[in-house]
Amino acid sequence: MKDNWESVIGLEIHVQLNSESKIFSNAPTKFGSDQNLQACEVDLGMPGTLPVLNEKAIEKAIKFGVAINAEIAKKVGFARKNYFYPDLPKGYQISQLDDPIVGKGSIEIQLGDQEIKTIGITRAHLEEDAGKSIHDLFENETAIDLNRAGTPLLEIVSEPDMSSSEEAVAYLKKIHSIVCALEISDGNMSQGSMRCDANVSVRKKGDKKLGTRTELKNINSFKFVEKAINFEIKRQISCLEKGEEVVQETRLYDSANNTTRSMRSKEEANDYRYFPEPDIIPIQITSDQILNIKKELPELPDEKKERYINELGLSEYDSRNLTYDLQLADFFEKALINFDDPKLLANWILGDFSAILNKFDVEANNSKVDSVKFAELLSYLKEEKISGQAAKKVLENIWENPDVSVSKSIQDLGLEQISNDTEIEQIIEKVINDNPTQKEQFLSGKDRLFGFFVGQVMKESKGKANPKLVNEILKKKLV
Amino acid sequence: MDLETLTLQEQISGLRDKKFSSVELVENYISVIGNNEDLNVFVSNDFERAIAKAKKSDSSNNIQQDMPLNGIPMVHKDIFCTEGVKTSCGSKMLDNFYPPYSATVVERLEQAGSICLGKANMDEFAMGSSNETSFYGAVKNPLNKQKSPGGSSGGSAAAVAANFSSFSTGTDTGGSIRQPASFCGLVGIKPTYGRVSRYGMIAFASSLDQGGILAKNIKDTAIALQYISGYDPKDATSIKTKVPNFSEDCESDKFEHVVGLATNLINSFGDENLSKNYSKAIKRLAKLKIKTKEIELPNLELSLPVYYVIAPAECSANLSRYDGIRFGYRAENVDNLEDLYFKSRGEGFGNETKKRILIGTYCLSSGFYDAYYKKAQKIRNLISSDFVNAFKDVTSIMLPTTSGEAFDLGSITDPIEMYKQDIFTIPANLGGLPAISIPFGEKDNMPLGIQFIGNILEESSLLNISNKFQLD
Amino acid sequence: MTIDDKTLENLSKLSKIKIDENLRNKLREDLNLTINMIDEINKIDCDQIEELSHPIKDNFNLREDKVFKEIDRESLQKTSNKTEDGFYLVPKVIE
Repeated sequence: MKDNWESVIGLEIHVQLNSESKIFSNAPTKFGSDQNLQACEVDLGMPGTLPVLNEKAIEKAIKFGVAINAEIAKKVGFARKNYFYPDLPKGYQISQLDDPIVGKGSIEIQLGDQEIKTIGITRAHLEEDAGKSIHDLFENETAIDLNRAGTPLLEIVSEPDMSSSEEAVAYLKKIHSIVCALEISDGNMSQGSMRCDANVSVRKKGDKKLGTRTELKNINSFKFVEKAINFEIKRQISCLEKGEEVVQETRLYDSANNTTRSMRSKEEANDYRYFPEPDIIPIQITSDQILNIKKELPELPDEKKERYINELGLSEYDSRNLTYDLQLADFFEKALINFDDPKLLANWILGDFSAILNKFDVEANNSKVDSVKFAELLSYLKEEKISGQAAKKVLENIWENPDVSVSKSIQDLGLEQISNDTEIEQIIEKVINDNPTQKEQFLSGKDRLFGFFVGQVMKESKGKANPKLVNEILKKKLV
Repeated sequence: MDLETLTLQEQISGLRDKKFSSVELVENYISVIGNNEDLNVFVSNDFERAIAKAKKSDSSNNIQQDMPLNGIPMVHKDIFCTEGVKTSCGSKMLDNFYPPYSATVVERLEQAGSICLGKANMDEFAMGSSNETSFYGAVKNPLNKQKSPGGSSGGSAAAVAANFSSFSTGTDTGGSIRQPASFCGLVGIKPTYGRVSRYGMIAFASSLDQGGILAKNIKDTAIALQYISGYDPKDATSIKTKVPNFSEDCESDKFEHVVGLATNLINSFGDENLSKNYSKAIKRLAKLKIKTKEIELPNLELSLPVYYVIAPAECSANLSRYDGIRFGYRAENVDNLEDLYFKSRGEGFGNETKKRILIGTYCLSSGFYDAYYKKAQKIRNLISSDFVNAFKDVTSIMLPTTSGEAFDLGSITDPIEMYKQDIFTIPANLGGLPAISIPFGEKDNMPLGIQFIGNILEESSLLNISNKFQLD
Repeated sequence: MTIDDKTLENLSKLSKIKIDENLRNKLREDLNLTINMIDEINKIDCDQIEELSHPIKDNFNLREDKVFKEIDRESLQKTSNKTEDGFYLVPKVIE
């Protein structure tokens, strides 16, 4: 971003709550069934049908509120938000306006080594999801699938406290880790269990007044949040620098082209005509109910992070990254049962293990190498039976061949570390003899060449030589 | 024996004593209905199935303990969804609607053994006080075919008055059971909001709608009310409480009564006939030695404007689901989605319905919400509080049901005049209170009604005072 | 406050109801009569009064999180005039 501009970002995150049945009906919420097989007469808004609120939706929303230290409403009322769209069966969405179940709260984020930043959460409210409109299935028609209609949503609205896309991503990741830890959502972004709208505006540094904001819709991954916001910041700045105005509007993020485009301008802004939902009498929440939920709250990502730092001696950075993704943290803790070097384990999980998960686009829970096998692999490394480079190769090998054991893989790839002094001495002698010029230069003070010799030895040994021994012996031989 | 003139109570005992069969009852009704088609009572009939059910009921021998209405024919207002049977709600919009489910009221009456003969005509989406807004044309008052049977449950009232059944179901959002009952010389009860499930009852104004019963007398009303009452997990506003034995309670001696009177208020309307009939009713109470007490209902007259904000506002949202996509009328030859909406709704709804949706939309729209909707909700609270205060001193409140007798069809063209029909019935809906209309007095050979409004969940007391009142 | 043609146009848009030209004048007239009648409420001062949205207070009912029935798509879609392959169809929407 150009130096004299700053951006102001707020996120609205829609989290699908993982109840068995819908928020207002007995239809199932499972993802991926055939079109309209999960929409009952209530979800379809058929004449005479009525909504009855799912108690689990209330419970899960309270859990979230308690986890972010927010005030929980004593009275939870619903409202009708009126607009017409084919995937909104009743012509109104049952949502909350005046009495959101979760009031003001906050969470903390941290980027790199920067200071911890508190992001305010304005509110979180319950509402029903809409169905899906599919535009490319039929030539002249849009197809409507109402399976998703009535899925419980918790809409989490942040304060405009973020000032970069990186902060927005960190915030989103934090919310993701919290809802996953609470087990109130599966958090699966690719299936739409978590969706995000971003409100973005820019202003000259030092300006008190907020600039005109746009709302970016339809952002479905951490990566896209960053890209969409960055694109939008640039677009707004270039608008303003050209002397044009930013139009307050809703824009759709187009991930294929990495652009945002206008959806509807403010002129046509909807008049939603909210009013209290007459079919649902406001629900009273007792302090006992809140207390009970508080008591049974699982370990939250921040608490886990503190534990990793204090009890396992991990760095703040590693702890934070491990606890962003609870599946990863879970994998870490399981592997730790069989491998008692938390620091080494954390390095490997955040490094090569994460890389291979990313490469195959798999989450830790579905890893083809389980925690036991992974711990075994690291034990070989720690006992210096294989080198780090070899361990990487083995990891890839056992990922691709799940039936092969760690020891068999090491054998198959011929990667057992050479920790035999004489064998290493022989290799070193050969390397020194083959490179007399370098030896001369080294002896005349070019210390950097020591690395050259280590490299050659490793190459000669096909990466199998124990690096520690190589170092020791090489030092002796080169003198 | 004229089977069609029997009361519900007489039919139950007659069937039990095998004086006649259910098939005889049903077939007799079908023939009476056939001779009176000009009344335009039914939107659709279910005669074939009714006969089949009657046969089954007759062969099941005795009336079983758990099927107290076994073999009894009845009529549903066409606002109640009936699985596989057309449910139009009096609208072109739902002329082709065959619901795949039944209303809880329908299910419960079926479980009690009753047999539905058909679906009664009504004002479109229950919006009207004369039955003239129905897509199927107005129902005629069986007592005088020039006259309106009232609305919106006009078909339900006419069905009982014309001896098409001993009782019928109706719904009441602002008087839609009580006014037609009054116009047709019947008893009609609107129970406490939440006493009867609204599930499957097509919504007009959700915070005001309540299902109820129309019948020839109080006892029959009590019997039928029993089977539609009670908590329903499918309706979040239904009340979780035990249902008293209404037919026992209506004849019981255990109720003490202090009837609230609003003489000043009634006289303030300056309508001689209205005041005359009201004072006649007060004299009746005195003669029966029933205690009375004058009460104040200072905000009652505001009920009408409050109602015409709240009911249209709620209906404007309730009727958004009729978009031509998943059910109901769908306009043909449309250019695009907007066109589909505008034409389906423009062609599918009648004028009164459109008017109410537009008023409701106006009252909720940006800039007007506070002045209309919010304000109306506040005054609703005032009206409700007036009742709460009144019920500190009295057990029920007596008011006229309507300001006059049934009017000629087509005679009221001023919409506000029509809306004023419901001035005495609307307050009970705003307060969620049970209210009953019973025949009392007459004018120009047409019946008049008197209304008792009870405290929340006090239907038993209401039925009891009504019964005492009638035992002159 | 009265409803003029512009307001009526907006109400028609919001409620997605086409208004026939030959009915427009009568409709506007009737709406204004009703609004005049409703305007009575604005003569009352009740700022301090709470709104009442539900006649019976504190009677909330919740539902257990249970999946009940099999969904019979075929019978549910019988009420629709336009379905194909289990989808409801509407004229193509261009976003």
